[in-house]
Amino acid sequence: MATYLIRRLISFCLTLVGASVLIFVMLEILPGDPALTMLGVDAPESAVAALRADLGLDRPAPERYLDWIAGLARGEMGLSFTYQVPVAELFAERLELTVPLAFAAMALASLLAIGAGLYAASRHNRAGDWGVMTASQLGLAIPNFWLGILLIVLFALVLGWTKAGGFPGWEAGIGPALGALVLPVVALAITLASILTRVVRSATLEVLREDFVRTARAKGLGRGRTLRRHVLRNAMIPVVTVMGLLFADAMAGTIVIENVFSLPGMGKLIFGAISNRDLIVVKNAVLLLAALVIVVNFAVDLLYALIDPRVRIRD
Amino acid sequence: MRNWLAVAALPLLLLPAAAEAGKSTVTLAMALEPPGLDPTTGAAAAIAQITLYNVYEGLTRVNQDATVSPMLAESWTVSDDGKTYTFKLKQGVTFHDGTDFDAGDVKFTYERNAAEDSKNKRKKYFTNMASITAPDAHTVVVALKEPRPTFLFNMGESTSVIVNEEAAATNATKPVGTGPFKFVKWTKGDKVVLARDPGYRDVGAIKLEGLTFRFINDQAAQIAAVMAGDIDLIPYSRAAESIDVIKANERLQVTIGTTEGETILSTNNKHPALSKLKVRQAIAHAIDRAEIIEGAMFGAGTPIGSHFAPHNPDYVDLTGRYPHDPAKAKALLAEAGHGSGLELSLKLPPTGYARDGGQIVAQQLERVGIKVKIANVEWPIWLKEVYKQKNYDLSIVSHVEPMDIGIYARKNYYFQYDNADFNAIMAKADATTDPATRSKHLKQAQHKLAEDAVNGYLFQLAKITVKDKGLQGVWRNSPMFVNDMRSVSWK
Repeated sequence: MATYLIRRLISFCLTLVGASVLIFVMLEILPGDPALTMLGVDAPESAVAALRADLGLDRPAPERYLDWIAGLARGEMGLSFTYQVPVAELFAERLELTVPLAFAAMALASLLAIGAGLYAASRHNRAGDWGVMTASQLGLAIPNFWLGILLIVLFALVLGWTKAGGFPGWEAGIGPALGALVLPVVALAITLASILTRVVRSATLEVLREDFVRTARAKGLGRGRTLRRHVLRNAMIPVVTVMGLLFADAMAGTIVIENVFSLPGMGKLIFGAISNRDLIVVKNAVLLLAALVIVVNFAVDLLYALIDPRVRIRD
Repeated sequence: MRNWLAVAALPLLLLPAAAEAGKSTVTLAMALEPPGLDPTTGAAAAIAQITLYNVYEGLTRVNQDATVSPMLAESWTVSDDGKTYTFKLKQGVTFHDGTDFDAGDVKFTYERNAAEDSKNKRKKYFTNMASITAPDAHTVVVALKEPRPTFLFNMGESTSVIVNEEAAATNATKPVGTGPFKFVKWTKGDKVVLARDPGYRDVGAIKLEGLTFRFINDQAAQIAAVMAGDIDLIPYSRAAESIDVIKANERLQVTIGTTEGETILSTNNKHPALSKLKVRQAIAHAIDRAEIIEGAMFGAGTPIGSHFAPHNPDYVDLTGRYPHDPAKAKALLAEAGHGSGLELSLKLPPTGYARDGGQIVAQQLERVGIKVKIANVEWPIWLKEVYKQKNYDLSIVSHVEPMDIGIYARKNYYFQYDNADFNAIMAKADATTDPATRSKHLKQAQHKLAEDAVNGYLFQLAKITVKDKGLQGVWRNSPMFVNDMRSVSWK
């Protein structure tokens, strides 16, 4: 287990270095001068040059890359070009929203998917199965931004139960803050749940064909208990793998959902930063998201061992 | 994102009118969040839309009809040669941090804007000042190197607001001005909150107790928020396609006013084919303005025939110079040697009018035998490739700066017009202080641009305001980017 962890840690660091190079090079290639973008078409050449120097954009690229990495090693991300506040401070504010949003959407999606998937598998090729499959097909077909708009129209405009987006902040209290997140979480979770339901269903069907299931049923164990005690755990390995991969989708989905619901999270920050050419925010944000996805998938790998003792022994 | 908006918005028609309690604050929606809140060091229009006349004030102010009134200056006199302005300043004015406003602040601000490392986008206004002197604490004398007929208007723009030395360095994150509203907080990515300053010199005239500017980039989300009553006012709405839906709502009101945005088919006058007058004339004849305004702006917009705002007193209507006439366009192309066809690129920035208008313009040009290759680009790329490198054939963009016909006289500007006759007309217009002479030259300049078909002149961008019916005093027109909330109140 120890060598496994060390190996994973090294690969984690290498992936991050690779990602950082990729991000930096991509932003270098991306056309558009941040200083010109900030000052606009009517700015005199000298003002643009003054701003470029201020932002440190007049120095060679390798030097700027090394500066960035050295800064990260010291725990500094620098100042946002546009907001003129430390990038880390911006991220801290934004992650307070995006992390709960993404995890809540994952949790809701998992709950829905496991319930619906197990149900569909246990009713294989019957009406219940068809129903679940049709619903998940629909969930996959509906883009999450459109679902978001529909939810706003229904709950904020027609029924008047919630606000049409926005976030009061955690300082407004847990209740109002969570209330503002309900619709975005649902909009984000539906697509994820639709994918995951299909995985749960097929994984369960696979396990249902195993000999030990027949044995359990033969010795008189009820269908529900067999599903819960023997099938579910065995079906979890592929499901957890896909959940890890879906987490990246959830993070990407927040960019769209946060814009639809005008939530001040990482997604909205990245979106704005790209159009403003706030490159320092973009590169750090993308690297942070990459790290987050890698960490989550690492956690998934560790989960295997927990779910399936055979993984532990093999290693 | 337009089609699904229309579908999603249908149920909005069923909405009941919400009740209004005695409100004393206003929540505005803006599409873009400003980068910082100091208009003297940042150029984004969003900065002015929050701070101008609300937080910061200039010596003068520009009114809704583009006339100029006193603001921090009580009065002024101009020397006969138009080069020396003597401002008498208002007394008893304080900044939000408690410091007194006097002539020293004006001198500090203007000199800072002119400095070597100044990031002011209107630096040239201030480098044109030969000297700024303060004979006493409430008098400022500004001597110009060259007379500028628009000087008083310019001193009312966002780039000319007066700041104090104590707060200048931190104004971008914590603005301090002399205006009726002071800064409370900025939740990045979400909103900026302002509150009425009890120490404001004329606080009795300010009806609103607070302002909240919320940043909602998505058009559908903006409309949903105003329908739900979360937002009271969208001063610059881009949702032309939702006008009918909003009009059907009993609680809301839409007004359509004018802006300084001349929307043009920018043309690279150094392109081998486009450098020929006949080709540009052919394009002018190929364009059907009515179809573009209807298709791209849902009818909101005024056709233009040159680069000048129709609401300006010196405006000349030149839309008839090259009327829509595809046959004539084809003939002109043939005469120019492009009878067998011509291929041009059309680079479109990400605004609705450009992307939608671009499709229509492309079709209109194809009808006369010009093949158009559309490329959609982001703003930063547009700025670099089209504006800076001039690597384009055609583009569509709205030139939103007030009174900007002078850009055609700029050397190496991205239209690459560089016309000596036009430059001479503009030089004469700028050199005179006599309004009648200036007016004559400005009219000549409009004629010259229309005649040469320098760009395709499409329409004047409309200011679409969506607001709660209970709000009064909101500007209908936009002579520049500003949301002057001082005279706004609830009924």
